[in-house]
Amino acid sequence: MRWLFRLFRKRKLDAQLDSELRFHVEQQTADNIAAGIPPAEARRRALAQFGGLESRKEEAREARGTQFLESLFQDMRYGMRMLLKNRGVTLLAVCALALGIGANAAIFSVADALLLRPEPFPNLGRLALMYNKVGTLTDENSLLAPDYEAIRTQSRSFEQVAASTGVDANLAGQGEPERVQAAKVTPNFFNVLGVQPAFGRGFTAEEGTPGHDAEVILSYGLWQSKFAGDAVIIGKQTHINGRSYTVVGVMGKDFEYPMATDLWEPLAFTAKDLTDREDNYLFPVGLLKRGVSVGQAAAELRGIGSELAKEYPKSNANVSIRVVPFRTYATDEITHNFMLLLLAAVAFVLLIACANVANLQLARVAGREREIAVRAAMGATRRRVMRQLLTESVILALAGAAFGLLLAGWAVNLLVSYIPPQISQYVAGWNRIALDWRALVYTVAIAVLAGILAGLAPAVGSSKPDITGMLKDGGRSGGGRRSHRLRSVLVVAEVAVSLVLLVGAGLMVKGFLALLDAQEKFSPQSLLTMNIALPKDKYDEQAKRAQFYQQALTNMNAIPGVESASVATAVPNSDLQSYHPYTGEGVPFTENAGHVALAESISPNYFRTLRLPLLRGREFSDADGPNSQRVAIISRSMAARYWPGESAIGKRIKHGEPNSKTPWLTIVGIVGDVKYNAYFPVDAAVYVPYAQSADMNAEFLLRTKGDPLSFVPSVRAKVANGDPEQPIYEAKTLAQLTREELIGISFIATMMAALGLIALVLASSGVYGVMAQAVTERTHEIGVRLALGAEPAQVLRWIAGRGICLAGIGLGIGLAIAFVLARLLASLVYGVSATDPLIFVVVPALLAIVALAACYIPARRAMRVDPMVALRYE
Amino acid sequence: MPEVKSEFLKGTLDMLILKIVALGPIHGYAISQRIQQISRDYFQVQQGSLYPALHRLENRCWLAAEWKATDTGREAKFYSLTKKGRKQLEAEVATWERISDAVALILRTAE
Repeated sequence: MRWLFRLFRKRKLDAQLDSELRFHVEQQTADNIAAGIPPAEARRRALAQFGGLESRKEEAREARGTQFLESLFQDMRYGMRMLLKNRGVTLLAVCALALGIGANAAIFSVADALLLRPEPFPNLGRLALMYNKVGTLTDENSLLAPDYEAIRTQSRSFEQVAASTGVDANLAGQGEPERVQAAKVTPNFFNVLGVQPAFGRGFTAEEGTPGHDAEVILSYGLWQSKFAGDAVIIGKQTHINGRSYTVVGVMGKDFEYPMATDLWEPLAFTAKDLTDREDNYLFPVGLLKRGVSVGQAAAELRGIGSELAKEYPKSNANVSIRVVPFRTYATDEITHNFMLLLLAAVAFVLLIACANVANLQLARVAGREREIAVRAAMGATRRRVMRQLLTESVILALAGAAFGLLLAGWAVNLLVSYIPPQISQYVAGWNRIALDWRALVYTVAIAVLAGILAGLAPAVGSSKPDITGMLKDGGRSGGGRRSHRLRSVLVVAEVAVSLVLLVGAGLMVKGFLALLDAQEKFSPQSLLTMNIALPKDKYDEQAKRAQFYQQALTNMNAIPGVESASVATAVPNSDLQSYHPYTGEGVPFTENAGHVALAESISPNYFRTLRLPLLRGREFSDADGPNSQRVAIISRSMAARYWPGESAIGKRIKHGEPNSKTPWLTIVGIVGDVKYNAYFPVDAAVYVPYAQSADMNAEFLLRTKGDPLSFVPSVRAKVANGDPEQPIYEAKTLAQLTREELIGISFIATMMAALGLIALVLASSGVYGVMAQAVTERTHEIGVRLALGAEPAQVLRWIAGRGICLAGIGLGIGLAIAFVLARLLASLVYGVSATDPLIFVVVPALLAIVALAACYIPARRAMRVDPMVALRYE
Repeated sequence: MPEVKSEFLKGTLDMLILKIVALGPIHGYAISQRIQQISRDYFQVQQGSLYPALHRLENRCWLAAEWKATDTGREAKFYSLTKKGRKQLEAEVATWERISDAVALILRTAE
């Protein structure tokens, strides 16, 4: 504590110290005079005996213990003075750092919101999700109600287990009836998550019983939009699915689990529900007991799962129960990898900025060598000099950080608006991206780090000055050998890293454009798609479903302007895709992604509607009905995979693994591959006619003349003709669907391109700076050469030559690294090729041109140097 | 007068200063004179060691300081021993006596 006081009362303490030591000398003098020595001599002796007053003071001050901080302040003041003296260079450095640090802050806030805290639950660390894994399928399936009960009662790993299931609901009574996303949840759901409604209350245990479950909790968004933020909403009635519900609570603004839910109802199990082994629909979430890890819970639930499989082989034979940390719900691997990619890229940008600043500092310090030599001569330790230089760099970095935060704020706003709200509501945490205190702390931390990094080169390089050499009159400034070498290395590094970034950005942009383009051959702007979900109870039989589709399609095809109407399980880039294993007759089965294909149930005119040509065999016809031979059409890559080199027509495949009891399908046709999914690199697809096997969920695909969206009302009417209660959802053009599906990739590609551009600007200014510095340093030498008769062009080539050489080395190294990293990128993002010749040639060429310009422009100045002036220049 | 090595002196210097201050409030110059006197001129404390030592001891709250007027009218900084300082002095004296006993023993038996 007293230590702190001493820090602030420095001046007073210094005065006291001064007084104390002076007193000592005076007393000694007085004693000397008393001993008979003449006054002048007496004083001299006293001083001599005492030793230098100043150094005694310094020693005493050091004992005070505040020395470090005081000298730090001193360094800071000195550093600021030095920085302000050379405003141009300082500004350049601050700009470079602002770009680098600002970019980092912006990307950090995105990564922070999406990766680190996607959902604001206090218990997040202890929450775990459970799902079923069936055989080798990759889907995460819901659980049966009795299985959930079994977990709930038998498991020891969880404090509490709750479950939710998503349902669609018709909300009526508040203006227009609207389709909303509802979730039925067990009463303890909110307790498990550790979240309370913002107003009202959660569900009571009683409300989880049949007959007492007519309560609903609204989401904040729905409350605002549909109920106009009614302040007395609690207790009011509303109509959902034809039933009257009481509103008992409203959730807080940030709460959104399950994603995009508009309202929550209690899940009330009847006795029949708890023994129903046909329908799975539950997604349990559990609060782990303290000290229990996810791994332990997973092991326990695996055990429970295998017991259930033994007891109920019909429903649970191939089913295993998986447990994962809650975090994985919100951020899948793809988002995770994308974010890491961006973080790495932006770190590279910062490194380039640091290299820039290091070069600037080196140049600046080179001009101050004399001053440093003087300080060293006066007793400054090497450490002290280094510390002063580092302090200067950190001040630069913090100034850069201040501007960088401004930039970042603007950038974050831009970023957030990139993804429209109807899509961003499905990206967990997106609406939480903001430049908050966490981003601030991160920014300050990397600023200090960057400052130290950037300052290290000049600090180490110049703290050991050649004192005698410098102090001599005419001592040459301009940095020793070491400083020059360092600068060259930094330039090479800058060029290399920016090349890597630019190549990466180029590959991503190209990949994204290719994905967009892959759909072009279908003319997606004239295709209309929409989803349909047939309710279980009405359409439990294949025949009924087939009849529905047939009726709907006949009606739709009759609409004037509709060229053809078809149906499939999932159109390209839709969410409804599901991949299943297929066994080929006589083909050995392997349990990996190699034997998985997209399962499609289609109408015969699907390929025609899509404009996907048939390669071999025939398409489906009306003759392929429920009583005729079971047929299938497969995609080209699947045929090549299963029966390479021979025709697949006439061969047979069946759905499922080799021991499954599904009927064999005879292959009658082969069509081209379609890139159905941008994120899952499997192009194999198996098509069956809906007349033989129709799905509950399907998508209609219509080719229209004119704007597809204008046909939506009539299509809706036609479907209603067939079944008045059957709504259609998500009607959009295929072009729209593709765009929305790819928005994630387009976001990343845009980010990478922006970062690449920043890197280009920084690297080229770095090269320019070093070249300009070289010209200034070599002015004397240039003058000599010109005076001795060298042609200006020769001088130009000599000066620029070195810079070009460095840039060339940088390009070479960068290219090598880019080759390696491109491989990594390709494995991360589907559609990005690792060896795109266009990118690998064009991008380095671009960078080379820029580097050339950056070398040439300052070198031209060298040519104009007046030899007489140059010779006098020191 | 031999110049005693400062490292050796530093540890014992603290103890000597504490001992002298224990006799009553005293300022820096007088301390250096006193040490010289009492040790019969054996220890001539380098002024360079004295003031850092005094400030160090003050830092650690073993000495308390006060600015008082001397008989010449000039103000000087007088040091006095705190309770903690007194305890420290006792501890150091005890240690010193043990060390000197041990050294003496070794020297005797080595003969």
